[in-house]
Amino acid sequence: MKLFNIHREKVGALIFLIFSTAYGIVASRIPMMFYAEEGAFTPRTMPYALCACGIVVSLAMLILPTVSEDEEKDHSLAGAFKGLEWKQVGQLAVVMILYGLTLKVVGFLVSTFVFLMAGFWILGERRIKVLLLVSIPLVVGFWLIMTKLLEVYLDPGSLFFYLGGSS
Amino acid sequence: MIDGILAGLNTVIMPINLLLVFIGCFAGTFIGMLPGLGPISAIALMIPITYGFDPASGMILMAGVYYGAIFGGSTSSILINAPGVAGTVATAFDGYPLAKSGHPGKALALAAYSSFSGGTIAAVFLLIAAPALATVSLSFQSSDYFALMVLGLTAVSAFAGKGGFLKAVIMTVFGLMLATVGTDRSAGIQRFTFGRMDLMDGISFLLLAMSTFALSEALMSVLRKDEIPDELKKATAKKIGSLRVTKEEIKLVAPTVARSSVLGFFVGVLPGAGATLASFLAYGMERNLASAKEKLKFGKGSLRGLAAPETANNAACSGSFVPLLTLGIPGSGTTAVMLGALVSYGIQPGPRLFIDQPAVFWSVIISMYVGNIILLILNLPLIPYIARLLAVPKQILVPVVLFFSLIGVYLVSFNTFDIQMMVFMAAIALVLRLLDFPMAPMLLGFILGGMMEDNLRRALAISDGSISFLWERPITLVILIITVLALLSPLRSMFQKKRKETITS
Repeated sequence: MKLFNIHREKVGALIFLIFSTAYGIVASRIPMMFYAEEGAFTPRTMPYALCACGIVVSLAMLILPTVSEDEEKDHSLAGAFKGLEWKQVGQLAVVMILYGLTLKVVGFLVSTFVFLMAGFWILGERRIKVLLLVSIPLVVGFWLIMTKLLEVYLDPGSLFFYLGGSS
Repeated sequence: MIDGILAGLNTVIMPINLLLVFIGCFAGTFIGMLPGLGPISAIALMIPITYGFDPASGMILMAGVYYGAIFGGSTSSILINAPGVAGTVATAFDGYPLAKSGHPGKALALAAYSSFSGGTIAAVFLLIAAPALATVSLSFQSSDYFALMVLGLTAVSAFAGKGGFLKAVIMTVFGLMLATVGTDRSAGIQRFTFGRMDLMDGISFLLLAMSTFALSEALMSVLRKDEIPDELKKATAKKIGSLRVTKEEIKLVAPTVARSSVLGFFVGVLPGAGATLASFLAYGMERNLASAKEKLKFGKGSLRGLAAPETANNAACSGSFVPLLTLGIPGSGTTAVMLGALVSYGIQPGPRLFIDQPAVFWSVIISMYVGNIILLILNLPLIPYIARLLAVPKQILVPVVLFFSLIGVYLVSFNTFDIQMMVFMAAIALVLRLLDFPMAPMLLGFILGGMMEDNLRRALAISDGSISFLWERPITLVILIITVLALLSPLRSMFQKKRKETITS
């Protein structure tokens, strides 16, 4: 469990060191035009410079002593992730991804209504009346403002388009 | 210049724009009072709403939100000692004891009057400084701009505070790296897109701002089980008492307000410094200038102790618009979001803005002043009503914020990949926040990344590929020397502290 006692700043620096190295490797694979290779500034110049900066700064952070603003605070990695509500955040993330996947399929009205209901439910709101009274006016109101007032096109949903048999 | 001011004034006093300032101040105050959500999120949430507006109206709304958020932060600082915004931490030092001693109305009123006065004096400075700097900056070349951007990014890290310097540098570099994703502007070659068409245009600024601020701040409140304190709901819902400030009290704080306005404005102009540093410096300065007897009152409800940070943070907000409007270089996370909004309207801030778009330039400056008036006249009496909005439970508020963040980005691109990307970026931001890494430098790095690369490329092309452009022009050289000094100052204090520790141990 010693890993979890590491200062969280050092963990961040280590992650950034790995990220900068990977960034540099991918940068070396950026394709180049034959005439650009001799140029002073190529599409790889900035990424190489940033990769070098990233490695130098993260190494400096790993090597130099840690200076904390609040000495009494628990700065360990374990302290950073202790007692947090991961389950609800994970569920909200899944709901957001599903919202993105269904938005064009079932349309704005249905997907947003389901998204809001699911969000309220995950965070502990169980009163059906409240769920409906908040989500329906919000979704319909937003849809009316966007489509009728601002004339922004909101997808009605490809599923209904196919079910309707239109070609 | 007079024509420009009149054009700006005409734009601002249009009923729709006055309404927008009011809505902005009201929404900003509400969001500023919420724990976790700051002015960056408040402004980012407004960007999609303002897409249908003309640029001047959009900026007017955002300026209102900015002021409102700072005022909202002050309200929760004063009433319950819980600053909603970093810039109002110093306000709580004397604001809270004053409110606790039975004068919440007076504390709020004094904060509002000080903010108003700070904003007024700073607006006058802005009126003079912005066009003057814009005229000077017309002679700037690519190398100067490149050096200025390096200075801006370095200063953000240098002002990050004790222990935060390297973290801020890392986040700035991370932002610059994210800015390289997409098609290279000069060669037309794809970089870091991994063959995905969705990434060919790069990561959208709005997507990054929304996911790393609005979305991740809302998720963070769930993760940490943050609740709007009952204290705040109670303190704001009940009558806040008399708002009267006596003539003697005004006389007492008048010199404080004058000093703090000047200090706040100039600190605000500095890239990276912002409202937080300005408010602490003003508080410290006022305490040092106070007589021994007056000094004892500081921290126990001193009127000067409350007026100083409130004046300075508002003056700094105005000051931070100087580099944004005249050089096109944002000095803080908030102004970076505003720059992103301006760019999305098709307006490139910089010295030409003053000449090409005088209505936008002046309406932003004048709307800031109008925002101050609206805050003073309307927001103060509206505090109990805003409190009613705070009664909305978190389980309702968070999904609504998530919805507005996601749909705001989707409505710009109509690409559902952006929603998946937002969740991914918000997850990264969440981890970085837990590891105590700041988000604002990343946003600043991202917004300046493309411009920095363009200017570096141009400067190298002008100097035939030689890096001599760094010292050939005196302006570039001076800016780079300041950059090096800014970079070395936190390192120096870090080593000094280490040496002291070694000596004592």
